[in-house]
Amino acid sequence: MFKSKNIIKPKRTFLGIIIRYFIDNLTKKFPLPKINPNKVSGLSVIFSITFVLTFGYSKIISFLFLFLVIFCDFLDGAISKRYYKKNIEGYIVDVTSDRISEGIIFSFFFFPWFYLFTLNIFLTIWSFLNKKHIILPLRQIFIIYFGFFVL
Amino acid sequence: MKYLIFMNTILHFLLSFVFVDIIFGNAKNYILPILLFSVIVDLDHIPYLLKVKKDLIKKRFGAESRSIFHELVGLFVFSLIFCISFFFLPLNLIRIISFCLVIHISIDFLFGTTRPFYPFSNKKIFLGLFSKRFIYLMDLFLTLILLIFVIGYV
Repeated sequence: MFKSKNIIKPKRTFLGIIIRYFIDNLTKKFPLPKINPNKVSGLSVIFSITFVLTFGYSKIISFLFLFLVIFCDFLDGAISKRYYKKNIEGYIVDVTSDRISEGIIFSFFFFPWFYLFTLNIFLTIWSFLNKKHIILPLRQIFIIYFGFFVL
Repeated sequence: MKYLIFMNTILHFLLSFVFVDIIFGNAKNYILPILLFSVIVDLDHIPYLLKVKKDLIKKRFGAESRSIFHELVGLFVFSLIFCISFFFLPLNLIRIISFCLVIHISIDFLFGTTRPFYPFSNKKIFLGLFSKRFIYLMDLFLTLILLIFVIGYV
């Protein structure tokens, strides 16, 4: 077992670094609130629950919640980058809330999303153990699918 | 004052029941699968209870009371089982039981102290969305309200 003090945050792949570079440049001038990024990650899980709860009643409202899920995911990374030193705790909270959020959404839209979600959990654990961050951006793909085929 | 920070097992079932009824609309027909899969991961508290016995008040239901089945590794194992079950069980049933299980883990993650990468790391996480006192009171209050609601509904 790893000792908590010695855990190193997994590094992004070349493609991940490029995407992060563009996002960081994009958000440089945006005013961001100085709040705990872990709470923002928690919010994305809550929005995922509200997304599936509202899906049967209004697809437009559920789409807005799905957008908020992805926005919170983007926001927690941006806040922690600007105000807090990125550490392993932030990484663990971020990836765990991402997987739980995916689990909630994709248990509802089961096939084929849940299979990809299962693969993503495996990749998350693999990334943590091998210090190389490789994850499928499933919710980002899903929102495009949702916008085109479900709405 | 210290508080027992965990969402009780009854509340897990009640929340899953209410959510399933809102989303799928027929929770009454699936009451047994909902009951089973909303509390199944809490079975790992039993070995912990047997281990600590009288020291429970002192040691409490912390992250240590949860086995790998409460964390990402457990979620992966259960997800694999659901993926295989998809070929043998009705889709709606699979959707409901997988949803109940994920909701259980998500509620524990949101309000409790967890070790997401256990057994690979012992790093404990508490999101701090609400104060521990508020979570404790909400746990009691929600359990009572939802229990009355679900009994009246069923």
